[in-house]
Amino acid sequence: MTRRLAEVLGDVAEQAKLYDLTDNAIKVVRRRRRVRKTVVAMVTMVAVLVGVLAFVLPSGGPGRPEGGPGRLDGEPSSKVLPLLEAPTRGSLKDDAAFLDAVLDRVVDNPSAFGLPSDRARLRVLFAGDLPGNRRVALVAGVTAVPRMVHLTASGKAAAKELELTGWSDVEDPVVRDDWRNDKNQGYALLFGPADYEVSVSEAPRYMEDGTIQRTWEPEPAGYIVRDTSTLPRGLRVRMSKGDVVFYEAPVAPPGTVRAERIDPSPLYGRGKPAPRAAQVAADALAYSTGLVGPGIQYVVLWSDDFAVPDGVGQIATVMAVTEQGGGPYITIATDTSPEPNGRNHPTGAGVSGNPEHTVIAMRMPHFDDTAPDTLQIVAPPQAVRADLLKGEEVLATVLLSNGLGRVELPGPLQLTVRALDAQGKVIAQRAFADLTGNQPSGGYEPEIHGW
Amino acid sequence: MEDEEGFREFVRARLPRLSRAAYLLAGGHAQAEDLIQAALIKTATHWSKVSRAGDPEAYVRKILYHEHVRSWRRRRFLEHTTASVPENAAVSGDETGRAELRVVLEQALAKLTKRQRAVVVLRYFEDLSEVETAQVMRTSVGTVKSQTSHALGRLRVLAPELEDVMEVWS
Repeated sequence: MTRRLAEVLGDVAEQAKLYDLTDNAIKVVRRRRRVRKTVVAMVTMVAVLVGVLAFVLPSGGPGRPEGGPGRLDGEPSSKVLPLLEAPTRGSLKDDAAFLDAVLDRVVDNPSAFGLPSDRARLRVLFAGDLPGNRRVALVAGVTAVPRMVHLTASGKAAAKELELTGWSDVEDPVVRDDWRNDKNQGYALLFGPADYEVSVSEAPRYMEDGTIQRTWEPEPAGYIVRDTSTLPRGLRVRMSKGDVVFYEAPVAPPGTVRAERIDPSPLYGRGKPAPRAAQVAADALAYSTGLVGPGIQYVVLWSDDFAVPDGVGQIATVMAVTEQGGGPYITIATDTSPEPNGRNHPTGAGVSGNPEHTVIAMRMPHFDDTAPDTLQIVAPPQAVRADLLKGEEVLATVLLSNGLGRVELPGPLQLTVRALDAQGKVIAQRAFADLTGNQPSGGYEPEIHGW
Repeated sequence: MEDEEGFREFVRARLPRLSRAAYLLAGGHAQAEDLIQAALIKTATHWSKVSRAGDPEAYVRKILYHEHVRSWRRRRFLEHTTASVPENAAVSGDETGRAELRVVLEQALAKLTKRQRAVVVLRYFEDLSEVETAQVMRTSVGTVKSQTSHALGRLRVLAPELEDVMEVWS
């Protein structure tokens, strides 16, 4: 009975190539065994911040990039071609001798970089000196599956002294790279195709009604370079042509450390105190938004116990309430480890208006591989029920206790969450959407990808 | 690495099948390559234990599916490139019809959630039972059933061109 589907799946699968990475796997295992004794487990904040902070690192590890299907031949997709065709950016973009020397290194030993040997199929996307005393060259291959290598050195190094520090696939028409040391000194770099107007906005105003007010200023260089130690809060970049936005996203987290402990008592008594999760969430929120100081109040919107594989952990949604009455929020679940491991979910972060009049909905973080179908509702305390609507059709009604409720509802969903009081009056409303395969995860404000 | 030749021999024998499963899960060569790489590294790391247990393919398959489901944490989003879907794919036995069906299904698979996609591949490509699928996904048989139902329901909406195939799913 299922033979037809199996056959069509088989047809799809026939397009696969033989991804023979046996040698690579063996090399990695040998290398790991050599360095195992020196490895220190640093899990907590890394796990918390992945997916929230857009902290983009080169995906390559130690060693050299391996070849593979499409790495060295073919034509790039129309999505990334405009990036590969853009002129070189950076303070060394006009230093022809330096650029030639960088390309010479690749052409002389292409297998060391996993790039084509044909100079005509190589592009120096960026070459320049960056904050944090770094000299960086980013070189990409113009191939069907383009790869970009990161060549880096401290100070004013010659091209031959740059080290291969990582590599990544060019999957988007925008390159984001940032690096910082443990003192938050380093750089944030971001660029895309040519011919777009690039503008930036910082210090957004989070209003009581949940809206965000921003002022945009042109970025004359046409690409972004910032010192991470002085990153303004809420810095976003926009690439556009006229009114059509091609790309909009946060640049990089300011890395702000929040000194105070957060009061773990949930607002309006929603849930039970979860001090560990609340503290981790508050730290992550400060790190990623830079919101600290006078006029900023951190509150727990709700918190509770949270089932984890080895026992009972905690979960908390923490909001930074600004002087305008609104602010960003994030949800973190923590496990039972002495130094808690944290997990977030992309739908658990956003921007809220006055918490007394706001409803939010989110999927739950998880520590195993199975994402639950739970949809958590956090509504104003006087709300007694929430209707989940697709158009005007009520898909489900959730009874609320002190503004809290949850329902098992498989995704992907795109709906409106409407909170009602005991008299049936709508007191808050908000859209909710699951992230599907090709959507950016966003963070606090939605990212825009116009491709 | 202990018994390196045994590991190589296992990969040589199983790689074609694993590559096809990885491609079905990931929907692109680069992503499939990433999945295979992660799976092989983990398998090589524990090879002596895995080979002693007697079913290394099952171990690799588990790793493959878990890496697939977890990959949203690493990737900002998935890329999927296919040709445009034909407006009226002919569901016939000829080669053109098969090619069109393939494109339609590929496009529809890209719009499923990762777990839905995984359950379709496990049940209908790998031909695993509900119990075996639950073991691979480390979940309950009930969840496999509901995920399968949701996945097939979604495919019906996304790919009405596959009506002939749909009939046999219900």
